[in-house]
Amino acid sequence: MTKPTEIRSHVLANLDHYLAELDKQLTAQGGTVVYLRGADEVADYLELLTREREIPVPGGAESLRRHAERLEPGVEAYLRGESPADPESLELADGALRISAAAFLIADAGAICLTGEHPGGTGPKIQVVVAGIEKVLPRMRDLAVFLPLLPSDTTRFLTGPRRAGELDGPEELCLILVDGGRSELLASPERRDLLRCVRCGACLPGRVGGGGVDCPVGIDTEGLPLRLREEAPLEVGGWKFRLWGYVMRKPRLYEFAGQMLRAFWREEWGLPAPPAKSFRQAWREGKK
Amino acid sequence: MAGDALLESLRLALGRKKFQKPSTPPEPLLVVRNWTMEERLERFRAAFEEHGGALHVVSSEQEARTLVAELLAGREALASGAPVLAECGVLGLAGVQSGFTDPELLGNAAQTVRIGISSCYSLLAESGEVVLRFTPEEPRCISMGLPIWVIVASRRKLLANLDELLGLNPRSFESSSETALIAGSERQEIHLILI
Repeated sequence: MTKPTEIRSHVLANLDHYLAELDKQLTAQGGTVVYLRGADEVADYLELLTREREIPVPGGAESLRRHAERLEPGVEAYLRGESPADPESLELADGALRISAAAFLIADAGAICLTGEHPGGTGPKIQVVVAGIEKVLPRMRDLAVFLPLLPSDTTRFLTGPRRAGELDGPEELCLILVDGGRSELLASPERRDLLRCVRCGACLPGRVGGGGVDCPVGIDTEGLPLRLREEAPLEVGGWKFRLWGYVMRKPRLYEFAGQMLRAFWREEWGLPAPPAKSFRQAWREGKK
Repeated sequence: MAGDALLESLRLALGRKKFQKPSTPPEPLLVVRNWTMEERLERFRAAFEEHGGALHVVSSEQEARTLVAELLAGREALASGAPVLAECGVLGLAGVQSGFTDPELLGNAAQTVRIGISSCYSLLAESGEVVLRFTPEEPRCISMGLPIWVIVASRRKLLANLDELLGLNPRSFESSSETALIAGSERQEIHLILI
């Protein structure tokens, strides 16, 4: 029996071929395929689209940017071992535009597979789907292996916008394929394995690096992320966290910094105000 | 970012040449259960009802029509253009609107009516899923857009599982703009009348 690992490895080794096939097939069926570098470009694209079509966006461009980041967390999310849960779709202007995330893409059928999205109503006027380039599978029948990994009450296959004679469904279907650093991962045979991930969540709740669960696509969920972190430690927060770490190691400096913060606190910073007394101060007073 | 540029960077990363064909992909093993119709029916019933659906098995088209009328209980409904509905005489029931050709008229009707009647492409016994293929005769909003959904289908639609569906004709998915697999819905009350 073919394991999911073998199919995913084959796809990644021939990714350019399957993406080209998917593009050709979906375009022939009336869809549009757009290639973008990362979440920033996705947000810019969505902003332009909503402006051109005069679709109001509650929360403006910033809300589109946040949604783009949720839909396309990028390769760093793999390295951090973040939750594989699917982000929720965003629907704007009473169905004028719907922005979703793909579970899989099927090259031979030019199909986009969405899970957990009830098609309800007449469907959006414009359906945009965001997907990492690694989501592609060669054929529909490969889903016999992969769909059971993502159990859902609703699974949909979109193969284009509504066709002649259809009374509802999207008038436009746009697939956004995002690189998001994946092409760099592909170049490294050791890191490439991470792109086999289908976000099934089998490694949860322990999460990648802590679960010790058998991954259905053969990712070494314990060893690989740890090795990668050792090779290239992630910058967590940059200079601010380094400064914080330094201050935390000097008790007197820490207390002085706290006093300065309380003395010069400004409401316009929009953060919760610090208490009038520090814990140390309250402790000392309590002991007297 | 142009598609060509991305594909070229992938080729570079993978050491592949333009137009280089891949080896044959590993073949997934499709496991089609050799169940009798009765076994399929029992398995489908168990899974479908677990998802919250109500299964009604009837022995004739006349019985199906009577059951639809009982479910409507005098209320209005929208019906799709599925041939089985005409064959059962469901389209002739009082309060049933059908034969829509104008998207706006259908959309307006769906705003006021609470019951949709349609058929389905197939049924998967193992998972209790209903497979829908949206076409001009089977609009989305009649099956999935209303609070109560009545499905009328022949038991010939009952397949063992997803593997059987994918093995029948995997390219058939391209014949419609959308295919959906539905395993119940919190939004809808679903009745399936199986003839």
